[in-house]
Amino acid sequence: MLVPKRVKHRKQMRGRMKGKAQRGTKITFGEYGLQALEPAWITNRQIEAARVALTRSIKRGGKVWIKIFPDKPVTAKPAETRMGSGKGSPEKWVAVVKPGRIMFELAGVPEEVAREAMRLASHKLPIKTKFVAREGMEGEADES
Amino acid sequence: MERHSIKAELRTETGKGVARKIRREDLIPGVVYGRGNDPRSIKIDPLDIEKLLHSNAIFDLTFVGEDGEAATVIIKDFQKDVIKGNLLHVDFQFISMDEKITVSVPLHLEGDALGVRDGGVLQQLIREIEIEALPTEIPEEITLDISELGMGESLAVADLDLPDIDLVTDSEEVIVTIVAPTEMVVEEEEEEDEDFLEPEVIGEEEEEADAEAEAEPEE
Repeated sequence: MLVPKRVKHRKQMRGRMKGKAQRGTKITFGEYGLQALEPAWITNRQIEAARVALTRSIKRGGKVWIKIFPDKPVTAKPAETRMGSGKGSPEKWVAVVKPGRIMFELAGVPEEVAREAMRLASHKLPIKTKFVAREGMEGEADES
Repeated sequence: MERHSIKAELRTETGKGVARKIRREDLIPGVVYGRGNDPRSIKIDPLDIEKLLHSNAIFDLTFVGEDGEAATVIIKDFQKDVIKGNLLHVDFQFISMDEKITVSVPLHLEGDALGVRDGGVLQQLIREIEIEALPTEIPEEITLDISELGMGESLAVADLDLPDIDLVTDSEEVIVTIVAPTEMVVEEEEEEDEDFLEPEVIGEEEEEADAEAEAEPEE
């Protein structure tokens, strides 16, 4: 699973997810992509589940790129604990995803295979997504 | 290269409020600049250029209301809505028909590669080539024949047969390569359910080392 190697601080503030993605909105490596349509924290487990779904679906051949990285620690307090006594301990790693962000890319497979693989991967994610093809390539976007 | 005639209305107001108002009228804001001219803010109909965004097309731009003054321009840049995909803004650049310009030309791969027939995976690393040419000599696309390309082989920009074109892209850059397919590894289910993998915190180790170093002399 994806985890940072080194961090500057163990805990972070939560932040906000206003607006659309400013970067990572174009397909850069592959031919097809899975684009987020909603803002969310995507955990490293969800990313891993989607990656496994993608690679299993395309079987052999093809190449997958993961374009988000879970670099934000999320803390939680243990169950049945009284409030107070400081911030909880780090529990999981998340990637902050805003609408428009291309999260996964695929290349080296026919469009139909890519579309089905992305559909399966999108079921592992907590947000609405859209299948997108590189500009200049055929292929209608389709939402799931 | 094809030439297209489009009309643009000059505007004096700028800013995001004005831009939004223009978009509500089904037009888009834009700007024309280059060749030492003062930049001019314009508004145009996106339908006139939508299909030509990636084509390096040459436009005869007529400024409405300025005695029909016209200029030769190309699309330099454009912005699209990241989700809806509609055009938001366009940049035009003034050009001269007898002066070379630098543009990106799409690459088109032709033929079925030998390596792909043997089960390899084709990886295209660059899809556009930057060239320097006169506006009239810009090709619509550059074709590269990959039918002889075997497994593990690659073609670089230097392999393109372009005798009359000045390349700006580095000639050593690899365009396309055929790699062996990656076999899907059946991974054993990792049992790290409850384990939160905590990375090293930068600075913490040094602090601990310093603290130890300070403590030692006292002993």
